[in-house]
Amino acid sequence: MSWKAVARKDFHDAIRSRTFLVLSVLFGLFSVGIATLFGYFTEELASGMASEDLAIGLISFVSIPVSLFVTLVGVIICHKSIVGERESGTLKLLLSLPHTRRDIVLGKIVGRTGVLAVPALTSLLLGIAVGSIMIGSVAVVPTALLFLGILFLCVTYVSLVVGLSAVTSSEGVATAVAVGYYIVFELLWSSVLGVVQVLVIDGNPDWMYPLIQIPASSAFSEILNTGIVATTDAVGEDILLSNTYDAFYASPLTSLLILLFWLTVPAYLGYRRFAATDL
Amino acid sequence: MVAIETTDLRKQYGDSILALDGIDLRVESGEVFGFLGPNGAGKSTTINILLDFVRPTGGTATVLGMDAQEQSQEIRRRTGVLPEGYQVYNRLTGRYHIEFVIESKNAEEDPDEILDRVGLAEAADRKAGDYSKGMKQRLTLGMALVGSPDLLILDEPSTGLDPSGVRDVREIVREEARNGTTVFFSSHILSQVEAVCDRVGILREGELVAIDTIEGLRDSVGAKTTLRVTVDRMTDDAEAAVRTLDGVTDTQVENGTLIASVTDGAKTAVITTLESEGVTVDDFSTEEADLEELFMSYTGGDSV
Repeated sequence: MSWKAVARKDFHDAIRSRTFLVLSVLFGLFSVGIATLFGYFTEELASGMASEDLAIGLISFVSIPVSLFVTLVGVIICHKSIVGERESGTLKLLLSLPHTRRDIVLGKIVGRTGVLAVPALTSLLLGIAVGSIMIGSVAVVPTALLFLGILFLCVTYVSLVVGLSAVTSSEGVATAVAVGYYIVFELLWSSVLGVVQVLVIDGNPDWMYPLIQIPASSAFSEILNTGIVATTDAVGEDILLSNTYDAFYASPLTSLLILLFWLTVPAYLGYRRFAATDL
Repeated sequence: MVAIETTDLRKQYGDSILALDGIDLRVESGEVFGFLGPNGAGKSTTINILLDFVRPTGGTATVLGMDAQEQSQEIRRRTGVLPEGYQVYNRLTGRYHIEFVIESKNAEEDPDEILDRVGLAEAADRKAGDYSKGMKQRLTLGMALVGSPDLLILDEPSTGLDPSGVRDVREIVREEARNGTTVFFSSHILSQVEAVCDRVGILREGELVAIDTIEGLRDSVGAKTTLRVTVDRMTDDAEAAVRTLDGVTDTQVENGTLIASVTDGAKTAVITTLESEGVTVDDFSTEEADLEELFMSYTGGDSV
């Protein structure tokens, strides 16, 4: 159970990072800001809408800055988590103690998930609280679902990026890989797919579905939307995009598998590489 | 009991760099062992293998009777380490570092007692990132002492320390040794090792070139003590008699003083021989060979 000590230490260490604190406050404000805007404009423009629908809309809105926070800040605070300790030499202190390399990887994932989850869930709570007060309605079950979802997104991202960080012995390579991942999957993927779809394929074949879901954040929002729709008597159909694919694999289960892949495979491969290497 | 044993230990990096070329080392339990060699000789590589930071390309290593690769976690549970090339956690306090080790080793110690022992009681609540190099070294030594380890592995413990820090380290090593802890202590400076070590091993370009007590090493390279004897009146007969003694290699007389190169055991014989030749000894002094030279003769190659 020695990973617990590593996780606790890592949490205490990483949460004291100034960059991280600044980003957390920034995204907290972003989340409250977007909730306030949502509340303000629905009062002005959509006063006729059912308050239940507004509450669902609020959740979708607030989840945007929070999942952006998780994906972006997750990469920022985790990409050096192992390679950084290796390069600076703190890893030698850590491994002089009776921790295995598995304890280090596992402890890092748990510790940094905690570090990322605290501001993410706080931002979410603040945003939804402010928005709910303004629109005078709260969707309890979808909100709870969103909390769980964001927590799952945190652990998935942290695990993915810690895994990348365990593979290499150079901080420069680790940064390049993390930035590369972010640019390819978070920034370019959906736009490039969209362009290809319009210019080359000219249609929307079933196999586009899994392709679209490959970035962890896309898979996450697919699952989240499905979950929200399922728990709210179909009120959100007009707000949330509905699934127009026919194939059996064009289902949120595929998205869940993709998320589980990102959660486990990079961390496992990173660990295997890290365990076999000379410091 | 054997604390550390390596058999034909080898480590090759890539195709060309041979860091260790078959090290056979045996450190007995309770011993204070000095591991000497110039930088780059393979001291840290050896230590890194003992701690499973690095995997050997040949041979075996056991620590406290356990295999260094298979049972590394248990080895590190019972070992205190001051590694080479480490860095402290800049954002965490000195006390937190010690508390983390206590938690990691399931020890039951008072962090303040440890901090006091290494002279950091005053700085306990400051962030370790603000410590000087010497304070970081003291902190890491304190971390190594947590949990009453059976073995202390100290890789260049004097790095960054001022003379009083070096003295403190020596004192702590002696205290630990008195309590039966085995101490394995590496250094590229002989004088830091000779003051505390029961035995030393000298490493050079990945090979263990000598392993002995300091006295034994001095004898084996023929390092001599210079003996100066002030007498009332020197005679040729007396000088000749001294020169034929075992352990005396060279004599000369200057202004009524006999200067003889002798081994340690031959000092008394020189004095008694002089007196039996009827020469009155007024005073004598000895001057030991510079141990740096001795060290160089093993590690420098061409200076022999």
